Amino acid sequence: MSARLLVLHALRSALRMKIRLVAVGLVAACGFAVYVGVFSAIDSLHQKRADEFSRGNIADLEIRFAPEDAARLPCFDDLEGINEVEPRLIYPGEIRLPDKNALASLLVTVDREEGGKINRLSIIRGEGLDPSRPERVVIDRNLSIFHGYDVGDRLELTLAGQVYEIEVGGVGLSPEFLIAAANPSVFVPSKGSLGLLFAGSQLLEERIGIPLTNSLLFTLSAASDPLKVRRAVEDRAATGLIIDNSLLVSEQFSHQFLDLTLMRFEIFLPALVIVFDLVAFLVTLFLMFQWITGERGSIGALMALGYGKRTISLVYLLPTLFIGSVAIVVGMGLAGYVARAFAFNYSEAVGFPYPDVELASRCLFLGSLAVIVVLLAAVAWPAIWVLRLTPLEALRQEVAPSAPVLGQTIRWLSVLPGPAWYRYGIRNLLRAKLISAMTIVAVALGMGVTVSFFINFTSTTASSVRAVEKDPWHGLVDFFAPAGESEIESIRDVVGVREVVSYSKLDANLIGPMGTGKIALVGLPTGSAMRNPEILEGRNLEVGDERALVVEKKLAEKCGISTGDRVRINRFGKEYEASVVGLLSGALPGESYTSLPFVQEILGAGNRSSGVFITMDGDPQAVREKLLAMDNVSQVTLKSEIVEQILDSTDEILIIIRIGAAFSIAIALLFIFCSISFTVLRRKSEYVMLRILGFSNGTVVATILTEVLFLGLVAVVLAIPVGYFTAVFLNSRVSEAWYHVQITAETKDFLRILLPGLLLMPVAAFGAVRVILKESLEKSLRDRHYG
Amino acid sequence: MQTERTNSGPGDPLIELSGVHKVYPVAGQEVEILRNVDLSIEAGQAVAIRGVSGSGKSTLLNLIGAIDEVSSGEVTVCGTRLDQADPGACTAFRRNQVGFIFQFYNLLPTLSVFENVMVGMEAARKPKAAAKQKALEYLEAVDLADKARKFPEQLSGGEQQRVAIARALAKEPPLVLADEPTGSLDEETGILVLDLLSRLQREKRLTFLIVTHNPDISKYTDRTLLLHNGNLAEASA
Repeated sequence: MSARLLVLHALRSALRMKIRLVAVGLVAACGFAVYVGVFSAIDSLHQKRADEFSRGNIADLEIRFAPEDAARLPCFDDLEGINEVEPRLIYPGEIRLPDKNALASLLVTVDREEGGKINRLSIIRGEGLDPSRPERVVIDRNLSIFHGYDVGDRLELTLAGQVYEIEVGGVGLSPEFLIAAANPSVFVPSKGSLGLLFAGSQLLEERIGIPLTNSLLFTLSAASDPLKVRRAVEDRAATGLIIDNSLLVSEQFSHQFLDLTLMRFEIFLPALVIVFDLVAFLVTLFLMFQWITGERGSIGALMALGYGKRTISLVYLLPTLFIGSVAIVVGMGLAGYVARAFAFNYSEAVGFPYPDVELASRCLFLGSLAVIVVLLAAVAWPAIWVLRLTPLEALRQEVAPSAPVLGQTIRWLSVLPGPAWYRYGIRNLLRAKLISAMTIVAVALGMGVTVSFFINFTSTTASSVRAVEKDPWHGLVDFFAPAGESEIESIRDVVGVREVVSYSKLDANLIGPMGTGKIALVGLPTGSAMRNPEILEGRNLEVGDERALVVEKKLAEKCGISTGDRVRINRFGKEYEASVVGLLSGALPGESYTSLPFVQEILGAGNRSSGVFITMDGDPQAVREKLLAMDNVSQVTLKSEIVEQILDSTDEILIIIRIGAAFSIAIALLFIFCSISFTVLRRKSEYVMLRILGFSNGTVVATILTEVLFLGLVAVVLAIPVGYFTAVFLNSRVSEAWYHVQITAETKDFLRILLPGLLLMPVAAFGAVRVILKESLEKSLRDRHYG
Repeated sequence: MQTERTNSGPGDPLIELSGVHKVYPVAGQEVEILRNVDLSIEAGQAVAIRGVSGSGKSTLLNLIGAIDEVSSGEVTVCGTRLDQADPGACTAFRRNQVGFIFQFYNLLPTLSVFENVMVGMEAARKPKAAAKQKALEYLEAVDLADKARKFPEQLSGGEQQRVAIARALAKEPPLVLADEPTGSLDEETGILVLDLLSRLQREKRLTFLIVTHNPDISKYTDRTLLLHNGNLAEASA
């Protein structure tokens, strides 16, 4: 049946409430934008990593070992599954910054013959490495960004006490260091706190005299099993090398850091999207119901003219589809902004290269589907209402009976002192109690969820900082090669160092009943309180625990281990038994603790240690300088720097959450706008009558504002527990997926959302105020719209 | 449900009601609005039904127009047994057999005068070109051709009712039902509207059933019926 005029009528009728339509469209567009934008940004970041890995021919496997003459390396060519092998030397040192401070550095040499075919550098500015000019190096982009070095600059690099005057020949990006760790022992990105340099192997060979190497990079054939190849490589390497650790590409810091930090957003984003969808649903329901019930007379006429109910219902769905389509188009624009803001702020926060941000077609499809489904679901009720309406009911336009008074509550409110407009406003809310309740719940949910993001963020940051700060150590000192007692004694003698506790660390495989996982094992004297991990189950190490382990919770879950179990540690083919005495929460995947002698036994390094924890009573920078001047000291990481780094990166991520907060506030305002428009306009006749009776415009505005602010205040109060308990839930999800996050809520977490939300709420009353004040008294009387 | 259809020719009854009862539940009790109503109206007649407010005039009109359902009894209009018709058949009946004129006009505020007249024919699936021609013809007939592009809110009450008349008549249904068509108009305009209706009824040889409490209606109709306490009776001349 042709229904052109019917469609025309429905569309024109819907357009009469254009501001409210815009509100619905914006709510749907915001939900769409946050979902599509953030997930597309996450996809783009992952894609950037994949692209850089592919472009730079990332190593599938790396083994690190004690420095060895490159000529004496075992041969790996005959091992099955290996495509390419490349040796290199990684050398910690320090750069003397222009302000005379020392910056921890890592010099990575590339193969002098091939110029580096694995983990290939991408040159951003300047030139690549030139074998004929060994003093020209390529610096990592972050060294340029955070410390201002550029092509042609000269810098002073100290390696093992030797000072090298080098020149920056180029600025580059290595796929291996998309995000560099501040220190292998802590799960914190370095950003500017570690200076990465790439040089030809000739630079050091001239001083050392032989081509030293301590790292081998492997690319594997696609069909190979990386774990099997790793075992074979470790076995072969063990024949001639003192292996430190082996890393698959998936175990790399930048790989794990990106996955784990983005996973946090993937955990709490659905909560925001659900709330946005709920709000879009309710707003659409309000608006469509208001619209279609207002159309009752027209619907009656259409039925009398012989249009079927189904045709009428379908035609009245069209504006919803129209709003949905517009919301998707607007949402795509907003999503582009959200995606770029998220991706760039995240990149900025962790020192990751900016990705090319594209809206993911999967997200666009799902987001569009969600918009249409949510809007159609919301309009289903009014449509069903039309379907159930008889022609007689439609024509009669019966006035709905006024809502029953809320007995005790209204009586209680009626004794409250205050002007009539105030009491009238409050009572109006109670008259539309269902709508008032839905508004309060929806606004409280919208603001509460955003509050929960801030609390979650504060909690994760505070948990990270607390995990570091509660330990008494002030600095971590790493050695080039395991140090003996005399070297450790010499550290004790450094002025400003108060206490020294040795530790040794190693990477190995932990074998449990359910599987095998990579363990980052740190050995400490069992009586030492230098490191106090958060124990989730069982206990920490105690004096006398020689072969006891405290294992990171996720690793324990992966391996099917619980407290009291006997487990095996496999390192390069040799197995060691240990018992698990506790499970801990740690940000570093696989982070576990045992006694120092046990690690030394596994390493076969006698009583030598790979590093020391120190406490200081002198100037940390001065102490660090003295320590770095010692021959065997490769890196000194200060606790204060780690804390600073955590806070620095979280500051940038806060911007991402602020974007979510802005959307939440906007949606809360739009919701209040729609609900107030709905309830106030339903009582338009009453307000007109008040004006006829002589109430001033100011009084009418005050009445409407009373309603808005009352709704807002109740919603804000409700948003506090909603935010807190949602944060508890989100923290538990993050804790399950990563490390244990303790709830830490600060006043500012609430005020950041609730205060601007409340202050802006009068804006939401603007539409209703405008309509009421513009209504002609004469026309209203003529149309019998008086109350 | 099957609908019994018969063909009605000149002189045959177009509307036939037999033993019609209509009961409404009011405040938990059943109130009988129409009591054993029998009625027969021939094609081409103009009939008025008068009665005081609440006498059941509009209810009777709604039953004849397939807007409401009988509680018991038989209703045959234009050959359709409405008491046996399912909702789809009632919709088709309203679409093809009846033109409605309401007290409050019930024009679609978003459609122009011309479109409001067209919409009835669109529902009745009239060919577009023919529908346009009819719309213009009936707008001429109600003297509103010059306001075809205006919207209802730009018209006076009398003009709006004339648009409603054009809408009801343009699809040229066998039966036109008018429920208090002058109820919202001043006396002078009401007379103009009734003159117009009467003229069109004679010109087009339409069957007209008009519900009103206006005692002067008899001047415009062939028959006048009185409805009192749910009982229908022929009014004395």
